[in-house]
Amino acid sequence: MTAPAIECEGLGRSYRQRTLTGGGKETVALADLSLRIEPGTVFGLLGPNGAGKTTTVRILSTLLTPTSGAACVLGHDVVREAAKVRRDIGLVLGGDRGLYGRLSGYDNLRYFAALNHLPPAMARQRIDTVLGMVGMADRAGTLVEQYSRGMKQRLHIARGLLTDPQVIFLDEPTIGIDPVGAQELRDLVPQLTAQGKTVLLTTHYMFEADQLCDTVAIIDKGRLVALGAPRDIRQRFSRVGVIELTLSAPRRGLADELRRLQGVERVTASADGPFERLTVYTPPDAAFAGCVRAAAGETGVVSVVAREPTLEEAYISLLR
Amino acid sequence: MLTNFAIQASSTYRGLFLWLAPSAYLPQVLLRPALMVVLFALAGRYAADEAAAQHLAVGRIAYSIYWVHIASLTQSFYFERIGGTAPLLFASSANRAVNFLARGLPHYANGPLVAASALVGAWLVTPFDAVAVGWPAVVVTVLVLSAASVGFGLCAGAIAFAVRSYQSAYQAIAGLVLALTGSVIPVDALPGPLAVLATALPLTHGVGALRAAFEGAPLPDIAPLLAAELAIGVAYGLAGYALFRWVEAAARRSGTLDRAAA
Repeated sequence: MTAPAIECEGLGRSYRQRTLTGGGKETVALADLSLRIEPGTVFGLLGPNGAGKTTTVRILSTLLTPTSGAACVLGHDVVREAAKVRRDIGLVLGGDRGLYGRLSGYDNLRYFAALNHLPPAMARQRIDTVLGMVGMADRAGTLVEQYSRGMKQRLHIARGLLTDPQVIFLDEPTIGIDPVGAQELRDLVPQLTAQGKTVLLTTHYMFEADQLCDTVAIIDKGRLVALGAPRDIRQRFSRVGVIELTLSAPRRGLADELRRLQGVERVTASADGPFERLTVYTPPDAAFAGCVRAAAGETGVVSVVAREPTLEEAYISLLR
Repeated sequence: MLTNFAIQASSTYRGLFLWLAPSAYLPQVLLRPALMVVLFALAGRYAADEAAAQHLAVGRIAYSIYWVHIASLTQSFYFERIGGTAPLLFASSANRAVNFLARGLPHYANGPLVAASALVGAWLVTPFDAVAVGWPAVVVTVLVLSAASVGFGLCAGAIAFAVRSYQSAYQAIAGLVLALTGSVIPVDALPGPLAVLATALPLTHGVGALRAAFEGAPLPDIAPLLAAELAIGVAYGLAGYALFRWVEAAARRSGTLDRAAA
């Protein structure tokens, strides 16, 4: 059994807010989180805003101390051996901040290389490599304050990869990036794991987690609510059945008629070229396809398919 | 090691010093010190006599060196914090002492520059006897004051980093130095406890040295004052570093690193 890249045991973080009267209110950001992340894998941390995803990343990257439990990265305790942890990790925090706007992209990377003790020659080589990896080589000389949000995000990722770290924390890395750019960055992740690196990814995009992650953990209000491979999560934790009805043309009133069927939880309508697609959500394992077909009749029905819920649908049903 | 230090110094200076753009550097660093000396000297002459004008002009030359470093280094540390780069520094394996010192050192040259600007202002409105002035002692005093004020500026910067406010830290600290160090009001005219406090503040010894140098005192005579000034600057620099490390540790415990405003 190989040693885990990241391991948490009963990890917790709470904040105490003092009041003027001397009392205090405790807010729990993370409670009793236990995880084991194998080397060379992509681990997704999913959850709504305030669930504790970023708190987890901050604890593991030594920026925040836990108030209970323990965590190790590459065998080093994140509190007692923080300096050793910092040498081996790359941290990518999402958003517009975290760069010097008055410096060029190249100079930003040169600064962060210096912070991490890269010798000048190696720094130049790594900067060229990571700029190429994120498709920013031709804009490296431009001041960061002139970058779009997507370009800043790419530079953040380049910075996170600069030291060739063994463990990479990606906190919502594709947020704000155009779809093509986001996909290019997603394509980077398998390249990293192919080099034996471990990636901890937080994201709101379920398809991203589905596409990239070997294992996902869903946390809510600081607590772990589901853990497993995306496929397992879809199957084990989904509390919905999904039936997709495709019509050759929109049909007024049919969605309302389906909503009235007993047991149907909700119905969404979307256009798919000339077709209309009605997605009917039902309790799991319920044999609703026949009812839906009967309600729709034969005319104009292209297909009625019962399909496995997506990770997003499983996620929503789990957190509702 | 030296290259690493130089990169950190250059990057933090160019990336975080708000006045580095020509539109700000020219009026703030090159013009304002001269104008402030003119204002103080004329006010001294109007309120009292020529001796008061000279007293205030020299005091203002010395103060301008501290003023520029308090302003620039509070900016540097404050924008590190609100710009979101502090977490990346704290998650790195960077040597904190090197980083702390590197962000102060490039500001040194602004000290002699503002002193030169202020000297021009003084020359315009007060009749200095240029022959009587001990110029070597003036030059050395300006260089020592610049070094000591970088140390104090680093401390001011660490305070701005801690309180998450550039303006509050800058205004309070610059006001304290202006009021209590003898650059405007002679220390012996201060109430007792404040006069005692003044001896532990930066600039108090330096402004005395600069006044003596302008009156023709040779360098050996003012050396003790300069040594005291430098020692106080170093002490404040070390206190600033301790504060910076404490803020890092406290932020890790309390999770306050990302809070932008106090």
